[in-house]
Amino acid sequence: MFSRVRTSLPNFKENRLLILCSVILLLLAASLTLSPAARARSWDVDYKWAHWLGYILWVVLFFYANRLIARHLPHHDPYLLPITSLLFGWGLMTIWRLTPSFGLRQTLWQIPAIYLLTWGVKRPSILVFLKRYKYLWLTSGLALTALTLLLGTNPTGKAFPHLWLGCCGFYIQPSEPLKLLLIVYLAAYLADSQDKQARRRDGKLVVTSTITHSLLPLLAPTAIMTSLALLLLIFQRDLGTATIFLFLYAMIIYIATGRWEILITGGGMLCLAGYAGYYLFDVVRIRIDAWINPWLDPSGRSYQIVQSLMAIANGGVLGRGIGMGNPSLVPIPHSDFIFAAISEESGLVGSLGLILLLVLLCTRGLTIALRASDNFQRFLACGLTTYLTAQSILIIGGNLRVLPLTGVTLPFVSYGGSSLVTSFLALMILLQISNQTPDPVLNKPNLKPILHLGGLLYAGFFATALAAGWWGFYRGPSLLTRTDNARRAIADLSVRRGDILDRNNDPLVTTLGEPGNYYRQVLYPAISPVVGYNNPTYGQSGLEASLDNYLRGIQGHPTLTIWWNHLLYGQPPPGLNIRLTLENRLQKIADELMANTTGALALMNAQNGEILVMASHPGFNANQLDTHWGELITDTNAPLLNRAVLGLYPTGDLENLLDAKNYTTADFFNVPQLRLPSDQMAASITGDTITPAQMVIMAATLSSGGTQPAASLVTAVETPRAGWVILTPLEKSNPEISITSVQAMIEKYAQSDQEMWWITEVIDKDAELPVTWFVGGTLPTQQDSSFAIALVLEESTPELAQQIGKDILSRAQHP
Amino acid sequence: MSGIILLILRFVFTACLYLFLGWAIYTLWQELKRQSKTLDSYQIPPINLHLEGDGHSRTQTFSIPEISLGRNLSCDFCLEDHTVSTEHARLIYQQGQWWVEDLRSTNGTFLNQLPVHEAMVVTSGDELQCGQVIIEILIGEISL
Repeated sequence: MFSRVRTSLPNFKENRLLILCSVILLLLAASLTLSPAARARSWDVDYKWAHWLGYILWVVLFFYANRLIARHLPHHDPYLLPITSLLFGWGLMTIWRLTPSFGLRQTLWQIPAIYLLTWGVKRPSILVFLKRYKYLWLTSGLALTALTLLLGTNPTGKAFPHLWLGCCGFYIQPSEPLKLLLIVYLAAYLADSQDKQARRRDGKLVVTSTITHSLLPLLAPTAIMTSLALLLLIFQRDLGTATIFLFLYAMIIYIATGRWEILITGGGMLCLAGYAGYYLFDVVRIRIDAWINPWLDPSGRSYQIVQSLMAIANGGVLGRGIGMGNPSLVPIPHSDFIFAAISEESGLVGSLGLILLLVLLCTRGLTIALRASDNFQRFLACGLTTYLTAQSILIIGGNLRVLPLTGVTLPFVSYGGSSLVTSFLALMILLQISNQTPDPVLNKPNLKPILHLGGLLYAGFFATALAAGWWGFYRGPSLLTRTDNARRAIADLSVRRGDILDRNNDPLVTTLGEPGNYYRQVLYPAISPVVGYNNPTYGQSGLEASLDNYLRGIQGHPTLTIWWNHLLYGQPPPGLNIRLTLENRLQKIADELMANTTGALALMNAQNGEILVMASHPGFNANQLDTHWGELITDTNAPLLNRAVLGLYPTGDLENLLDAKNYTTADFFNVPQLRLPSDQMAASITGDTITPAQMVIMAATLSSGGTQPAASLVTAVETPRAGWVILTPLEKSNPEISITSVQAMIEKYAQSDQEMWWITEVIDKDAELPVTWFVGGTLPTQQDSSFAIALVLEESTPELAQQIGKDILSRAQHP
Repeated sequence: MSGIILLILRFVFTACLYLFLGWAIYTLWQELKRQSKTLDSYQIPPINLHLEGDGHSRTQTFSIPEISLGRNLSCDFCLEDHTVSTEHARLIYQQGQWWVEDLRSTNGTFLNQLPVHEAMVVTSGDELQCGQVIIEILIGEISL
């Protein structure tokens, strides 16, 4: 029976475009199937197949609709069906990718949607029918919406809002079809009153679309009906839909009358409504605050919008590829934030393509309005186009922070049965109106308001396109480095983070597990205060934070490798190993000796400045952060603090004993630059207190015979191409004091029998918080194995300090 | 390897998306061009107004969609006769036809002796009378 279909030019175009759509969606579906392999970087994974059901049903239904429309509406617009089918298919694949159970529902919802579409195109009388019973339609729509006040439910099970009707897994949202019914009513009413007027102007043939008489009698009935609808929506807190209603009302009246006062009044009403809503409704206040300044409360009130912007930023220009991004980090990505999800996985090129599709839809809709055969059809086409495109601009603008967020759907794309069916009904009416025989007669519609409407909608799309470029391309990289970007922690699961090794390549911290569930393990837990932690919940500290770029693989690899990995997987290449100056053996001894004390210890090679031991007690175990975090942050002993570099202790008489005042003190107690995150912080502190790390530099200056060594804690990084690459110390060694004065001073404290010098000093002995320093080192004569030590204990125990200090020093000297 | 396959799929997807958009815009552009050509070729058939007066006759050809007739000098077809009102009648081209409309003239407008109360269709060879002046109407190209 299809063979009788005449293949006219429009149908040829529509066929071609629809075939192209099916190819585009085929590629999308194939990418989605393969995506688990690329995520895990292995072929041995569970591939995704379920969404093919959606694809197959899409092909069957849309090509069926295509044939049927071609038969019943031979002169219809050939672009509408391909554009909307692509929008819907793209959305369908995205929903399958986000939540398969919603994908299945959306797949099933396309059956009634396409059924109603084809049912409508078979009935050419439907437009007349709609016009005749305009009040009946609107009243029944209002009644249904009013019913939600009594019987309203929420399918997600939440207490509020109840905008849905239905039960047992089948729900409709009456405010969606209400939009359509309002447009039909307004178009029918305004066209009627214009036709009456035209009939009154006896004998005049020139029928213009402009209503010239007073606005009040014209507006009164429509204003009453629209206000009723608005009141209902405001009562139900469906404020996004209310905004759309107000905008639709103003635009349709403007199209019909061409009076610019309508636009001013409408704009004023919208601003006024926003302003009033800000003070009346919490939800409006939250949304507007989050829109004006989302960075104030990114984890609370503006969580959604900040996460949405980060998703768009993560997409960049080319996108991560479907199934490869993390759009589920944004709340409700299948409905309100589907644009953010599409942006993340298709990138700026994809989101601009999507906006262009909507621009095309807008253009076709308005062209249909211009060519419509009478005023009713013209107003109807304008209203439907405004509904579809203005709602798109509203929600895309909300995702991009161009407009405040409103909970409306993206027509054809978002998940939601009521929205889908309504959108396809609008499409059916537009197809009906477009089915005009090409008529050489120029009927003269008032072009200006329609062109103005087009201009306004184009401006809206242009603003969203600009914003997409801004967040995806210009601001993207800086957004992604935010600490609340969970994508970094997710990348840690599938990309191996580099190890942290001691000076003999003994691993201190490593990464265990399989790709997809890597986790960080500190092999020697007592080192935690020095190396810090890398935790998906609590962030980073210590060397894990300051060496993050190497450990994460975004520094040290060739730029091309990093770029290529980002392009393919949206992840950095494998992390690089880092070698420290610490010596595991000595470190363990020091930690055992300090086990029950509160204090810090630093042992340095006095010749080259390498720190062999750095201990801080009490410490913590980075492996057990999740279970002990609460205790750790409230503990008054500050176990998370690395006392060796951040503990500020009074020096008391120590400076005098060491003749420190004779030298330039600032340089003498140099703050070592160790590539720790605390380097800058410690350097900014001045006063009579110093850290053990500063003290050990001073001791090393004496033990080396007057030269201040350049301190270092991190020696090398293992790159894939050049092997171990030495990281030169951040400072230079510095001849500080003459050898003779060093010798004179050290003689005072030298212990000749043990080839060492040391001072033990208790500061504030009788005070509440006494501090015991042990500072010492080898004698300058021992050039080949020269060490310096600084030990501090937060108690008055000189004997213990001396015992620990001497022990470590001698073990360093005689391994 | 899977990453490279997906990258190729992504590029082909994007290329197809823009092929769709490009093709749609291209065909729209073509349609626009075709339409403007049709509009160009779509011309108002010229209307010739022939006036037979005392000793002199004149014929004027118009190709504008609206022609005003009257005593006023600003009228497109000026009639110097005291029985003609200043703005007497007009001829307009609408819906593929020429129509005549009386502009509430004092002495009335007649088409083939029938008074013009509301707009009437004018065909070639019709006789239009404004006051006492009789105008012969010929529609289409004529060779004088």
